[in-house]
Amino acid sequence: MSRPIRTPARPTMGRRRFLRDLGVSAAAVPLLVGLDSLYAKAQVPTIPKKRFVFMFSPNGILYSAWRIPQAGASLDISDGTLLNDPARTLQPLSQSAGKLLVLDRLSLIGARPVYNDPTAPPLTINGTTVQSSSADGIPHPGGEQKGMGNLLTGQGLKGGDNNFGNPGLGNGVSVDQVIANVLFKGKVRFPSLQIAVMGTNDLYDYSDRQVEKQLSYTAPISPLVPVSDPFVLYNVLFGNATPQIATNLRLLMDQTVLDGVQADFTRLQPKVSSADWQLLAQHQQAVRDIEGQLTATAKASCSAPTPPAAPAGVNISDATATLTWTEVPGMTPISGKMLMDLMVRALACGLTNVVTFQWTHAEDNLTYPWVNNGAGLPPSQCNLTGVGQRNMAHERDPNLIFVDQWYASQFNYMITQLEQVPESGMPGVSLLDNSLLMHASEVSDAANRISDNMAITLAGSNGGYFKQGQALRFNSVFTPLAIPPNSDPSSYFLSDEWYTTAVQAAARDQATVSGPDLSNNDLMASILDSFGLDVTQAAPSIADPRFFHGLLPGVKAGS
Amino acid sequence: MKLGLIVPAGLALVAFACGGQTSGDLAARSGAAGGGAGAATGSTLDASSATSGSAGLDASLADASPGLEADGSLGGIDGAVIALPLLHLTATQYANTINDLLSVPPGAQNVPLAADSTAGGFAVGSAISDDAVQDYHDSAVAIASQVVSNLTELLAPVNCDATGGSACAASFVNAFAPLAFRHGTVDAATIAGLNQTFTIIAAAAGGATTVMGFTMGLQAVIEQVLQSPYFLYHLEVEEEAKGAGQLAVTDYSMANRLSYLLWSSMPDGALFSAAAANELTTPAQVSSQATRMLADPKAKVGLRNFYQQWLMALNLPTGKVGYSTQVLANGTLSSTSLFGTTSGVSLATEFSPALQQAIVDSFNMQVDSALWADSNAMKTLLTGATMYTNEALTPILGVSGASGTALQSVQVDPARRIGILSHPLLMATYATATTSHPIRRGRWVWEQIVCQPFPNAPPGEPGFQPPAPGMSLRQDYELLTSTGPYLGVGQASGNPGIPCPMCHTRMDPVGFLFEPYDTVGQYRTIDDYGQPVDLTKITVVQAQDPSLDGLTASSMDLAQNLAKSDEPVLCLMSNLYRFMAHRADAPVDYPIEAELDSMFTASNQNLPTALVGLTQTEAFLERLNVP
Repeated sequence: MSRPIRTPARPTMGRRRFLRDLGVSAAAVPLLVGLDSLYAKAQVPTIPKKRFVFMFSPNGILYSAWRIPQAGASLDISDGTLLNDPARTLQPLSQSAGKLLVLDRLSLIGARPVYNDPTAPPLTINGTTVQSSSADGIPHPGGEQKGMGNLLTGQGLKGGDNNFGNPGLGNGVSVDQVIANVLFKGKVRFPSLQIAVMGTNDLYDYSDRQVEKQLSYTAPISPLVPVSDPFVLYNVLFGNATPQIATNLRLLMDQTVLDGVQADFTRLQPKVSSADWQLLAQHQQAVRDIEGQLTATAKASCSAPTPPAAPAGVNISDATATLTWTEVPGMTPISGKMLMDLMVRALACGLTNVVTFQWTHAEDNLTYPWVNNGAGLPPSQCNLTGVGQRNMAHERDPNLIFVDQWYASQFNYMITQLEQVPESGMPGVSLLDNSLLMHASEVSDAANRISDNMAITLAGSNGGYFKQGQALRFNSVFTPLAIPPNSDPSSYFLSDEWYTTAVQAAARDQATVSGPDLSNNDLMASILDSFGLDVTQAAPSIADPRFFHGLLPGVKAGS
Repeated sequence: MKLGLIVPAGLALVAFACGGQTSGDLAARSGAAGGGAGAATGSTLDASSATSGSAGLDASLADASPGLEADGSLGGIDGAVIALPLLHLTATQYANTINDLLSVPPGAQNVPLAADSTAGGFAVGSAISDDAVQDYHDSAVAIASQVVSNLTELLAPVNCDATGGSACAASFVNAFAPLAFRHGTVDAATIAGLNQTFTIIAAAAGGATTVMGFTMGLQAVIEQVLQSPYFLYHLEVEEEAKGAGQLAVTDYSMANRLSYLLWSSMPDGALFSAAAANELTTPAQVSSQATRMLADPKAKVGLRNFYQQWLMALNLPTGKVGYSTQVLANGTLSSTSLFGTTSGVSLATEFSPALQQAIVDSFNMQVDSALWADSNAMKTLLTGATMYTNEALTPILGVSGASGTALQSVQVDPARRIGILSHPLLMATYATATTSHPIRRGRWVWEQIVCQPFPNAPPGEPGFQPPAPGMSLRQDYELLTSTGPYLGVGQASGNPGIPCPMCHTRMDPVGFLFEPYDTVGQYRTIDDYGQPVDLTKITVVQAQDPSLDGLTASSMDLAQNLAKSDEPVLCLMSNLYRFMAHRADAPVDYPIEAELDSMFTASNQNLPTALVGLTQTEAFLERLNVP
């Protein structure tokens, strides 16, 4: 090394000559060096006290019963009277109406056939012709699948090889995963939870990557497999491979340990300088506060619940037996409630802030034997294809009100459970206040396989962001397609005639809407905004300009 | 040993007031005694004292260190010793300490701790919040429940089990508490408090000799230890008990200073033994321990904690789009993902966690390789042509031949990149999702490599405007930052404001030298706006070392110039000093930093020499007890 060695005679202030150049006096040097004041308090990245819970129910809803009959682009529903009608789908939610934001007629634009099928006829929107397309040039199906793949991704389908044999999967990251990854990954134990209550009458496996079953995507065509077994979910959340600690023992441990820790602080006090003690005293006070919180309701509600009791005859250590049990017709409400309770507890405990809760999958033909006071879903009034939600939805059978109201009551259960949990550290605020719950299906009108003009119910304000006690109407046109009386409803929707008619109907609706047809992408942008995230940065695929127009107007409190 | 200068009280007070510490109370500090004496029955466990592996410190320190005097201290002028506030473990120190204490590696510690404060550019535990204390609680519970799931391993050093009940628990407490608290014998009251916790919890959980009762009792004991101030804080109460004034730090306090400086973790058995035998008293003893410790693999972990903060290269931002923009034959622009997707949608997901990890690992291996070399550490850091790649990273580095996920060394084309300055980690960190960011890249070099910092942009500065069609990003920035003075929001008219060029004439040219690297550090000739990358007429100005000024042809040219200058060495030594001292430096520290410069340079840039030198500064060897 040939470089001369610096001699100690080097002017020491030369090290910081630039400071002199800036005219900074020497006394201020420690504050400027490295632009980092001495012991600057770091910005503490706290975990946002916000949550997103998505509840999925399949096969759309009976729109005529769901729609609030009063006219108007915006209805005040806060006192519940507009919902409290036994003939209305939302009747079970009337007690929670002050917490609801009902969104009438948003469209899953990316689910339209024109975006999934390169052979579909062009669509004319406000005089502009949209050429048919799909991300990979493969014709993807025009059925419910497209809605399922689009619902939380805002994208069309991708992959697979044809319409019906292997329809592909959603072509984007889903909004729940965006929130989980950006805000909660590495901060909470489970950045997100995927829960699916098992169906009953068609044994299926959520790991088989069929688009009908998948809601949450980490990336295009990369769905997450949900948990269905409540005993497995319990172990995942609270088992932790250690002996289960009863709530009261855990509390005693915290009290004893934290008392002991406080004693350490007290013994230390005479040994340190008073300046140092100020930091330690602050720490000791925080220990005292935590001990107090642990005995208070917020933390008590967050302790690990006792394991769910095993139903008679079920060996919960036998996964196959449990799976079989959850698929017994009629068990869905029981296993569903167990899963909802565990979900609420996981949210209360801060184990997760993002949940997708899926009752079953698109096109499931459940018979719902527990509804109608245990009499089950009455036979189809249309009497074309027999009982079962899928079949009856394809006929817009009026008896579906039993199913739709039951799902509304389950959504109401989630709302009321979260309302009962106090937010830690925020007196008078409930978990519901700091959450956004969303209930939607994959189609609006299953008879048409159309995912335009959706029925979406939100609850909670996510920390004051969302307006509550309102019903908002968006795209003003909805043109249900009738199945011709002489057609076989089981195959009509496969026909070219239906396909063409449906596409034309969508185009007709589009042409009648004065502005752009507002979409689930717009809603998802608002949801991300409520978490402080910019959709264009956090989720470029949701901000796809073909489907996205901006934040959804009117949903933000104060707007 | 000569005593160093004591910072005037006024200066220290200004500094504390700025940090939100309670000011004005320094004079009221009481160096009350109390001591660490006690009648506890502490024994010592051997805390993972494996010392294998080797660092590049084979030359004898004295040979390589002209600044050292016969007693091992640095002669001449000493650095400042000021009364430092009490500090708790930083998140990194906590993670490493738990790993050494309970064999729970950082990756298996599932409760993230609150962010630390910073001083002098480095994390310090100078403040506490309710959130932080809650995190300590949650982490203690999680770690304790993890380790009691393997009682056999936990109890192996004390050779008993649950059937031993309270007696076995007491043995564990006697062995474990002195290790965790790191200051030798633990006082009897603290030991008794831990035993009492065991008794209460074991009884409530089924009895001390039942597996359940014993396990829960032990878990509670560990939770209590991990939340105790004796565990969480860098206490030097033995030194405080010696009374007011500036005095040498010895024994267990010195063992902790050494281990947290060089390992970012707790002392090992050898350090504890040396402390117990009063063998950490003279500078030479400290130097000898430091030399031993630098040969331990834990020194790599410790140094990494330093340089990841120095180089601000801890995390790679996610969500990179990674476009490569090309001009097509017909004149239109084509944006191609570097990751094989062309649809323009969802590219962010192609910048996969595996690739991001490879970039981070590649960077760490390159820096490790340079800094632990026997010689030429800074020169290699700046100009070395050896990089580390796996298959996923090869297209970005523009090399070939690597397969699989394991990183392997590769020679890069020195006409396109050398050293770390253009490493994908830095290029990606100092870029937006879609474009390079010359300002951030330039600022980084000035601030981190030659320690010539800038003020932050004034409030309300106009911000970036994308270039007009046909204009390159460089041309755009040259236009945006060429005028001034800029009047900040709220400034009275007539106030000249801060002229943009005052900073940007220095920042921007250096940043432009990195325009040949896109948002993830891939070499390119067309910028993000479709214009040719223009490296002509780039002039570095106002460098503290005038030899850096002048027309500079490329980032490789810059790196070579830097390697010939001594500014990067000075800057590294300043940063090491701040890291060691847990504070920003001040003019009184500069002479001692100059001594470190000389030592490092005389050793042919052998970094362990400088690290040992750090342990010979007064700021490290001594403390100031304020009466």
